[in-house]
Amino acid sequence: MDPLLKVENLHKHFNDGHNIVHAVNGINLEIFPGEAVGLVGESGCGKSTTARCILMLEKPTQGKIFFHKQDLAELSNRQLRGLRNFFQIVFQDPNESLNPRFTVEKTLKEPLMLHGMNYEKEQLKKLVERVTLEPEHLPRYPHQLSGGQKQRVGIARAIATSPEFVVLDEPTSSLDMSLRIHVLALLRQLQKEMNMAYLFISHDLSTVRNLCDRVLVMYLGRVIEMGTSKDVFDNPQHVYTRALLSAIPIPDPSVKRQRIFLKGETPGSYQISPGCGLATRCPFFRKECLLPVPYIDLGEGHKVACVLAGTDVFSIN
Amino acid sequence: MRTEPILQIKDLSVSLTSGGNERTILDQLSLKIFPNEVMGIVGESGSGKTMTALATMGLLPKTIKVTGGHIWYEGRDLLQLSGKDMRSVRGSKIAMIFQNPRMALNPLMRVGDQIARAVRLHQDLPKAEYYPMAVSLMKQVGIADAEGRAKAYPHQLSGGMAQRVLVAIMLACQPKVLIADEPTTGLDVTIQAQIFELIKEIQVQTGVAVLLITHDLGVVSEVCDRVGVMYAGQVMEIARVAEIFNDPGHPYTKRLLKSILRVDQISDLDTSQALSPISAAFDVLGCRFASQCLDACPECLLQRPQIPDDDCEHMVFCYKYYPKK
Repeated sequence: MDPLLKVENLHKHFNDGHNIVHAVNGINLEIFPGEAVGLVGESGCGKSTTARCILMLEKPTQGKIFFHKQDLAELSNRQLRGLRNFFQIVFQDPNESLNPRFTVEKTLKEPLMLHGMNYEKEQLKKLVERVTLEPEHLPRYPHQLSGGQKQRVGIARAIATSPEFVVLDEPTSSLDMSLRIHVLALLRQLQKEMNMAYLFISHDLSTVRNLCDRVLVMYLGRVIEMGTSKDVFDNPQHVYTRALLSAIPIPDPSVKRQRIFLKGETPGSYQISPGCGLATRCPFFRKECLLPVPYIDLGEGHKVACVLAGTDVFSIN
Repeated sequence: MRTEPILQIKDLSVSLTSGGNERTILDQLSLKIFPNEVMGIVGESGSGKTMTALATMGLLPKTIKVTGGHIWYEGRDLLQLSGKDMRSVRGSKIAMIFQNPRMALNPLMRVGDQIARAVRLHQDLPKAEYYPMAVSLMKQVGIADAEGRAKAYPHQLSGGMAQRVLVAIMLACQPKVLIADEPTTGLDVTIQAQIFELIKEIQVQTGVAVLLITHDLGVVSEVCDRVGVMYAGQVMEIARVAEIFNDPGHPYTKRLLKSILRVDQISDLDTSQALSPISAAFDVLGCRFASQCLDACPECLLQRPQIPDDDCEHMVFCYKYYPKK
């Protein structure tokens, strides 16, 4: 099966006047139809920039993005717009992404009209019901909706044209726990019913665990570990992934945690070393870490860019 | 119980008047905080957790009025204090750290000087020692290269670093109670873990009582000793952390626990039990959770249960599960 989306050697650098910010440093990824893939990492890791490059909202410094084997850089703006009914995005903050002067109805009509699809009332009613909203919400303005409702409108807008692929950038970070469940259940259902593929970007690993089939962990612009959700979350092999997972508080007093501490803070991305980005903070650092680190393949797509992957250096518990 | 509480909020009611309508934001809230413990307040947005903290610090916005109750500290009711007296309590006896630490710092002053200022105001040291003490406090809160960082301005610091600076200022004040309102919102998870470690260490060193406000049940489980669960301005349940997770009493607590997503487990994402947004609950008498509660009885809509035994370890404000020992 061919991948729906293929990202090849993506690099993105920003010039902020004094320095070059190396936001993304060589990302390769593939997403297949109907797959939910998570892209996780802490702030500054480059996940949002990666998403923006994939959506052609930023021009990559280097590398290619293929959608159905079509190199997106070769398309004109007009042709790219035409693709938007296949390829959509849900943003983090619905307050910033919904037009405050559009009713829900107008917000949802727009993509349908632009792509020559049916935008009759009946169709819109079905659409809002899909995201567990009511037809009575259609004439409302964003300020008349709660945070969770606004986020669902954002999702409805994204799925209106039945796209094959949706990029979601932190869609649940500003939502309460109870709303998060609603949104995730909705996304899971949509994935099943419409065979939608997702790229789900988040720093919230608990959410990614519950939605994604595969996950990629980013640090300083590189993917340092990838694999199925089960492999990465239950058997993390990169020191950073382990540290990250061990830092997440678990709501269960009976669970005993073994925390892995990283020294200091994430360095700025002004300079990147050829070796592992974690070298300055890793409690298991050794000389080899200063050299470029290849991916160690642990099987079933579980790949780790760490010299200690698959060894017994960390015994699990 | 064993010791005396260091801070006792009793029957606190607070309301917001806007456009002729009065909305009760906190409804007869009662909570005790003991020395040497981390007491958590957990709830969703709109539950009133931050208002509770602001009321304790005397920092409620002008549109919000206290309509009843007391906040006892060292034998005095903080709600009755004059502005001047409250100022001497705030900071030096009861300190607070907020979300968004960089916003709480003076953007025009180097952080070392800000800490030194707190030292000058709250400690009895000769002038020459203010700044060295500030640097020493920065080291105590785990800031690497403290001398260098002391010369930085807040905007030059990361979120985690700025929060540590706030903790250093708090230490300079040597308070007896620390209120931390979602101190790690917006901070990375690895930094969050560091900040909570720091708070716990400081508690061990200084015996400060900590009131930790959070929406994250994971944080409650790992950082708090006891916790109060709030919903729409009312306290639903108070218990030791282990009890809340292993043996929750209140229907709201049970539903809240069911909506948790864990990184070490896959949830079946059952939305049938999921909660509705809080906003509608404010205008009712009685228990504000009653309209969503499967166990509600007619009495629930009229009045909440009075718990006679104030010293009970596990308090459930619910007719069905009352009282629990």
